[in-house]
Amino acid sequence: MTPRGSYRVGGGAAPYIFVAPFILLFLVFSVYPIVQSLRLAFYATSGPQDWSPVGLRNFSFLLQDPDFHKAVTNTLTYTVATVLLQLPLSLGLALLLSQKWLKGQNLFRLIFFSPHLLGQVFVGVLFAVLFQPKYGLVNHAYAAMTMNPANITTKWLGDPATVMPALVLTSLWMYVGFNMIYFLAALQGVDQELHEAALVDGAGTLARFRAVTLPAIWPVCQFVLVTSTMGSLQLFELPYLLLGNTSGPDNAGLTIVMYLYQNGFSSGDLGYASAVGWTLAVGMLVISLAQLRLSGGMGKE
Amino acid sequence: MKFPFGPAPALMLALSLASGIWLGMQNRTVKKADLVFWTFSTTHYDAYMKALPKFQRQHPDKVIDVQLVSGTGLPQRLQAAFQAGLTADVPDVCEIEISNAGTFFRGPVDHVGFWDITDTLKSEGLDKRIIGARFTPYTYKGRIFGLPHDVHPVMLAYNREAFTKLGLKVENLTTWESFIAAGKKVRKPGARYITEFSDSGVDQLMTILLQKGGGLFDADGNVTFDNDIAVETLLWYVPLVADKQESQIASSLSSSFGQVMTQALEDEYFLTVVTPDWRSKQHETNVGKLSGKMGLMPLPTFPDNPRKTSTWGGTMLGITRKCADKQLAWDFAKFLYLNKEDLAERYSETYILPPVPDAWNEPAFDQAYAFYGGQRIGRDYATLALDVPPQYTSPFQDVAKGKFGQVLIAGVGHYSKSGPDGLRDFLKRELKSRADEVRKRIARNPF
Repeated sequence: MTPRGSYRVGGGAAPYIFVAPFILLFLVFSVYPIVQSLRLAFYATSGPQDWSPVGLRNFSFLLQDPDFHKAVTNTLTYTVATVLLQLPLSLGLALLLSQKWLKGQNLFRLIFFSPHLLGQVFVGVLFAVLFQPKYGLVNHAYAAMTMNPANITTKWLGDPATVMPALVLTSLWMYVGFNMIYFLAALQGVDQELHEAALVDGAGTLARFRAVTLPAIWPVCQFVLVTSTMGSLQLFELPYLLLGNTSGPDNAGLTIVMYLYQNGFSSGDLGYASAVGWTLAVGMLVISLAQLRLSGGMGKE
Repeated sequence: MKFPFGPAPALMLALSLASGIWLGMQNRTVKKADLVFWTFSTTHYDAYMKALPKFQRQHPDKVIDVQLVSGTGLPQRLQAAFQAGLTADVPDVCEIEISNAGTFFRGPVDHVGFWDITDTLKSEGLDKRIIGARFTPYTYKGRIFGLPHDVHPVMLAYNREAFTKLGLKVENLTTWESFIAAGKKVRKPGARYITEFSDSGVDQLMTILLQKGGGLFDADGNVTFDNDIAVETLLWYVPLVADKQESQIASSLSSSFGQVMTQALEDEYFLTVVTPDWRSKQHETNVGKLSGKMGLMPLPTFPDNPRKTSTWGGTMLGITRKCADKQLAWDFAKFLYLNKEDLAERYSETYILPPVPDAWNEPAFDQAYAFYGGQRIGRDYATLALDVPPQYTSPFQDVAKGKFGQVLIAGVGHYSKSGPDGLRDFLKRELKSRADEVRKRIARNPF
């Protein structure tokens, strides 16, 4: 059958014309800023008229900048803490909610997932109130649990030692239910015949989880691990709002992206902010590749 | 003739053309504003909108567009527009909060995004009419880029009823020494403190540092928060806020504002709070239960410095370089900031003292306030305002403030662990080390 003339005329150019708007927008709003930010990282600037080349000095200053070190330490601490706590909790909840004997599964799923629907801004503001010393709900519960009335004045967000635990706790409340949904979906795909076969072979609950469930959901675990890590490394809104638009006492809540933001948009040092951004990007690439390699996600069909 | 890509794209093209033509045919005759003015404060916005018709009557052919922009968004939008050279996104006139002002003074003086008003101010004698100290936060390398909106002298708001109940008398609390002694007497750990001083934030510490004549920077932008005044200030302040220590008389909550402070004042958790003029209005609005029971007293003094006040907060009005009609912008700035009758009216609404002493003779500044038990707080603030200390700025203001806060936290930690032993040397070392970090930052700036 001969194609209609109208399609033949434009046949060769049509795909390019249809993708052209995207390519154009991508070039203008993604590629150009990326290239420009890389260029900026080698300059000290102050507005469009003042560009002074500084070579690698923006990057070398990162090595001796205690605030950047603090931001990296905080970000990594948060990442490790959330990943180590969040993923097992999410998986545990998913396993619990996938049990046939549990009544009201859908209601529980909604309850656990709903914090994520609120968004980081709302959660940040909400928890800032909950963590108030003297008047916050968290301290009332804390004082009651420890049976020590003095704990009612605990300054969760005012003491450098407790800022990170407060941040991790808030993040857990928000994201455990979200990741639970991925695990629930993965658990539904586990072949029940394999479970039955393992049961016949006398495998216990733990052995079945290790030998049947975990291998079946492993690709989802890898996905959740990588996305959670990436999300944690890019943390910004939650601490920013929780700590009242600051990095907290003694920079205890300062993250890498927050530091980038402070330098770029508060101090106007775009060159240094770009250097921070590129360092973070390279760091994230390395961590992601390492995670994929260690978890066997690379080079497998 | 057939459209080459089929009927669907043809329809999409036809729809987009039709809508484009329809929009183009709409006869919208919106006159472009002659002057765009950004402010971040709702209180300022309301007051300016009220005053605007009067200015419009004086300039009937001009359109003034006053816009309320988010306090967080304004400096960032402006900073981004200045950085990118996007003149279309820059207003003609705008108000900047004091803590953001320094960040606009990073490049060479000639390239600052604001119009240098030094010569205009001096030629019209306005530098003499406005309190000199209030130009310092908006001065960069000797040039003035902003007109100050306020003075923000600081007093202590106190709970009269609680004072009477506890046998405290304002006239006996004129020195910090007597204030601390009283604080120890009335303190109930976890339940009552004589004042709100933070052990991790620097707002109150900064007011004390300024009261003692110190500051983060000097007039030339050099870091000064490791000098003797800063050491002495911290040495005095740290024991007062170190939690669960015998010397503690003050504490803080996670916020000095809103519901938390309202509750804390109502509960007599704090008997006094550091109160610049703008905060006196907040107390009246937020803590209605204490109406008639509050009062304002000058800051107690230090033996080596008779100053009974300090300053906290501020706003400048800047005219951007890109402004096409600078004369109109300047007239508008003077109309908003220097017109005595309007200043008096605005004071009545905001309780913010203008930095123009000749306006303080207006009757509004002698008004008695029921919330403060009939006290004429405007006159009290005005009496102190001429003694407000200078507050020099720098593009590295935020960094320095953060580092100073780090020393406070470290100092409190040291004191809680080791008491006063070695505190002076510890603070000296810490201050020097943090100040050097800021100096390193400054040294990186080639402009």
